[in-house]
Amino acid sequence: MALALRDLRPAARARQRPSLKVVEARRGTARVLVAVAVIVAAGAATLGVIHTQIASRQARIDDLDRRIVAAGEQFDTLRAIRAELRAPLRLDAAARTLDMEPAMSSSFLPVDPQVHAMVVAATGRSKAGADVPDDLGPLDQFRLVKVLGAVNP
Amino acid sequence: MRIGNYRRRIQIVAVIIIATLGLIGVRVAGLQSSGGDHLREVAREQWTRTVSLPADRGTIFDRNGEELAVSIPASTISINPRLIDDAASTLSVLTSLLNLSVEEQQRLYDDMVQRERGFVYVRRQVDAALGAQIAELRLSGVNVDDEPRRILPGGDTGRSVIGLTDIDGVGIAGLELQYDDMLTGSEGETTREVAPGGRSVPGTEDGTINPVPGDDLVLTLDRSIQFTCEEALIDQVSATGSKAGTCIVMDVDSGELYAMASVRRDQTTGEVGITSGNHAAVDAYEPGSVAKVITIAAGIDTGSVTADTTFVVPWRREHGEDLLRDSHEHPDEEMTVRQILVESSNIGTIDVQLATGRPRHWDYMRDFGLGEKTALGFPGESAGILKHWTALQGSEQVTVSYGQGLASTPIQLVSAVNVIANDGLYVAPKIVRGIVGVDGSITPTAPSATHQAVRPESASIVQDMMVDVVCSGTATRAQVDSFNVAGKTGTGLKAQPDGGYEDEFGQRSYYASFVGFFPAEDPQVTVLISIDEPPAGTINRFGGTAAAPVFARLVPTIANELSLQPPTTESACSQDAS
Repeated sequence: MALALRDLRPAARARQRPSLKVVEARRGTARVLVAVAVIVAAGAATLGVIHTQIASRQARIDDLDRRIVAAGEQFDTLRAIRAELRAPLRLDAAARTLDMEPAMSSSFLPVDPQVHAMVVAATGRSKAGADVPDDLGPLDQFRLVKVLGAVNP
Repeated sequence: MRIGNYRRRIQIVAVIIIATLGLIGVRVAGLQSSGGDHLREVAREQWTRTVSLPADRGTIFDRNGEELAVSIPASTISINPRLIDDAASTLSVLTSLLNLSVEEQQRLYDDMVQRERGFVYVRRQVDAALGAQIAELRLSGVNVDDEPRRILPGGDTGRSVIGLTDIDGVGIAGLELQYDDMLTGSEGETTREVAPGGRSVPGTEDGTINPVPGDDLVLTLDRSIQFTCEEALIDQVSATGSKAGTCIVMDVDSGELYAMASVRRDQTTGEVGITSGNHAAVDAYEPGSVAKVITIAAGIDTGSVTADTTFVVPWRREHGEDLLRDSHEHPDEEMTVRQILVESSNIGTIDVQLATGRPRHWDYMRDFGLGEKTALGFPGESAGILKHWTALQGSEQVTVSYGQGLASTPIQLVSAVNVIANDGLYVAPKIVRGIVGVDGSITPTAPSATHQAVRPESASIVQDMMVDVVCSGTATRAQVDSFNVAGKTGTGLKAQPDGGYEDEFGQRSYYASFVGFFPAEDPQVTVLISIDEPPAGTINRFGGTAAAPVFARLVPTIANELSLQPPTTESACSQDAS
């Protein structure tokens, strides 16, 4: 019995032993998998960064929009205040407090052409030059802002 | 066996998980495909609120770009009583910031306690900074919304013409009403997330439709001339104890109106102030002797008379059943047509009308713009009254020659006299110079319609006569130092409700006016001044005394604002004297 068992062991072992053979390590596939994983991770990270940037910039855009609206409202408020300050009603009242009175008559005096020429020469300004406004009037300022509003609604 | 059980359990759990996930997936797919849109909409309604964004109402500018009417940012405070946790505290805060009256506090407190209404105004169109301050407090159930406020930065200057809007920003009078569609933009809307308590969450705006601002109007008015007109009228109406006054300043060539002012005495307080209605376009009166300009121009233009044609003029004459009179008694007098106009003879003017022929005279009155509305198209504008010549009865057939038996608005009258100043060319009055579009570009309005009413030669002759009216006739108080002026006075009688000219006490009411233009050598500006109901028993009831001085007062300001210079330094009146 003991002999029989001894004889059987190697054969059983042989039957139970898996048939192994040497194969080349699949390093290429692993590298691809790693690369894909890295790319996916990087892509995900990039997407995250992009989304963060988009959100951040959208927040900035929203903030700028609000500031534009606020600036527009301030512009309207300021031009209303300017119009009040330039109103004849206020100017008249202010002038009267300084003991000024409206002119009830006017007179035109002829100016010697030579005097006129001397004044032009001294000031370096002709009448045409004097007519050029130094800055935009209220209507032109308003139109300029309106144009910008139309371009960037 | 144990391993087998273990694996089996794992398989069961996996199946359960997969089945659960599958069910969830099926449910998700079902929700996404069939009822998804509806559910998303329902959810969205629960956490968002869509609010309208008011469009900026267009600004109204004067001809120099100064703002006459402008909308400024403002805030409207409202509450949702159902969302207010602490009525007393909320009311206390609002009262301290908005200075609510006792009645307002009581009304709001009742609303807060009863919780029946979902929306109640607290205060509309308060200062935007105050609105922002209240919004910062984030009071539960308290809403702060943008709602622009319409203001006139120049005070009441030009109010008669500009008109007004209601609290919702809708034009209800004047140009605000006439151009309401143009001034009103298109509302936008935005959707915001709402936090518990009903407050909007800032920065969550989504799906915003930007509001489109309204167009802006650039008027022909000059704010300084308008102001000066109103001030001069207020002073004169106050000084003379009259009822009202009107002033119109018109560019001779273009028909553009530099000023259109109306003032009126308040019947309760007695104070004279600028009206909210444009009586210069709405009210029609008998123009009185100013209409003689048309009769004389018609006679000269048809060749029926010349300036030197003479008539023997009595101081009174019977027409039909009425005895018509000149303003003062005089012997039968041989008067030239020039004298008839200068001395403003009613009887002499009838002679000129009859020489011209009543049908042709009526045609001229139409050509001078009487009897029909002007091109202004102002809300409530009157066409005046001008019966067809065949419909005139009795003495009316001839009294229309000197301005009785017809009615005209001040704007009609100044346009009619402007025909003479403009070398016989009628030019329709105009008050809107241009429109500023959404893109900021200005679209000029079309030039005023014109037609030749009388030949330039005829107009020139009448101009010359009207200079004499100012130099030596009824309008000497319209003279100014620096300019030669031409004009004509009018003292019309106001018709009473019964059609007569006397009230139940036998008193007459007058309508004193003066229409003139300057410089007489090259007319640039035509001005109408009318004083309504000057005291009947005083010297101030005449156009030459009540209205002409106002004209003289305005000339320096008008000349300065428009940079007018006299073409000559020689006085036309001193030439006459010499």
